[in-house]
Amino acid sequence: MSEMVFTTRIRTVVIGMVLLTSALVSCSNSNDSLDGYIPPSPKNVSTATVHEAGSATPMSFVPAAGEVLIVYFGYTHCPDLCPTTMVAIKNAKKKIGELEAKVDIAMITVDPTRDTDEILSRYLASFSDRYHALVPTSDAELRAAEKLFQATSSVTNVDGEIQVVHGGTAYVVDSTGNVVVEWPFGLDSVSMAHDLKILLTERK
Amino acid sequence: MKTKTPRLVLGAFLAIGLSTLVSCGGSDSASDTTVAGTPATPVITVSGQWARTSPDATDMGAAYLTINSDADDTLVSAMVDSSVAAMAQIHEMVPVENGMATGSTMAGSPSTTMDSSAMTMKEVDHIDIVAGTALELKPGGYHVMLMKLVKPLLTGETFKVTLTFTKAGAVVVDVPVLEDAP
Repeated sequence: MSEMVFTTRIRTVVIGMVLLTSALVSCSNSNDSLDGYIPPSPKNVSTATVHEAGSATPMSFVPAAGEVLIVYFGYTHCPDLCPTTMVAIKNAKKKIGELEAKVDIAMITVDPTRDTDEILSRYLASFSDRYHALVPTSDAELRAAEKLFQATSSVTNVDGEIQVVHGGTAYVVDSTGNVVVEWPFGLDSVSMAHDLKILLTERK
Repeated sequence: MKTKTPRLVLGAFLAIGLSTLVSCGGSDSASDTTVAGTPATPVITVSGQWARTSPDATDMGAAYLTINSDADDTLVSAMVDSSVAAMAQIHEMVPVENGMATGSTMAGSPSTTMDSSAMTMKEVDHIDIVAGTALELKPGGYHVMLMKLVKPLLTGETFKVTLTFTKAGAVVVDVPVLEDAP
């Protein structure tokens, strides 16, 4: 089901890009040709409050002016989606040169029972020298953050096997606290770098 | 034997028998593994295999590869040596609707969940392979999941994965560890 939605989204984005490209011929200032998915209605996440490993105060989800924050809901026992996306983000940052310094990464674990502060921090250090390891201290804290991002997750124990459901989307937040673009699972580092360049130069 | 069901165990025994029979297996290229078949045995070619460097603090891993066969066959198991991981399973990422895994082939109405990208992993006990059609195990789809890694998978290392097919038997593949897809 979500694959169908995903495909439709991509198609919409592609069609949108074609239209925008043709619009660019007459209007060279257009800067809307992001490769990711643009939320149809604004999603402000500035009120999200999630405990950050190693910090007494919750992290701010509002990056400094001219910077962006990438937020991902995942878990460390995730062999496929999470490392795929984290490596794509790492490679996207490599592709944008000095702008890389304006990109912050936060991962909120949806599996806080297994992912301690220490485990999530070590995990993220494998992908970035700067990161925010966010481990919700209560279910309510996680659900409140998910509601703002319109994300969903669940952890269930099925006959001793822990089954985790989570979205594969990475959310890019700008200095107004709005999600400006969403990267569905599978978007490659070239597209991510493309979006970051636009967000950090044309739109800063 | 790291398989669970009698069916898989049977498949593995069959595989060992068949691999003995086809000990003349050749190779198309350095990176491909081909098992030459008798007329009754499909010729399996595995290419593009890789496993992701495991991040720190996790004991889970995933390997990916592409399988081609000149005849219909069925992949029934993937195994690794116990020096690599305690268990290997074939997994598929499946979309989730209303908290339930629906299976990737299900058609129907638009998702009603807030997050249309929600997915989960599901173990699969076999994958049918159609002659002449590549079966890709790739991120976001199928993967060989490695559970309880004995030690982290480090970039540049290689390890062996044994794939077992109903007809072609066992095919052993050298899998390099890479940070990202080749």
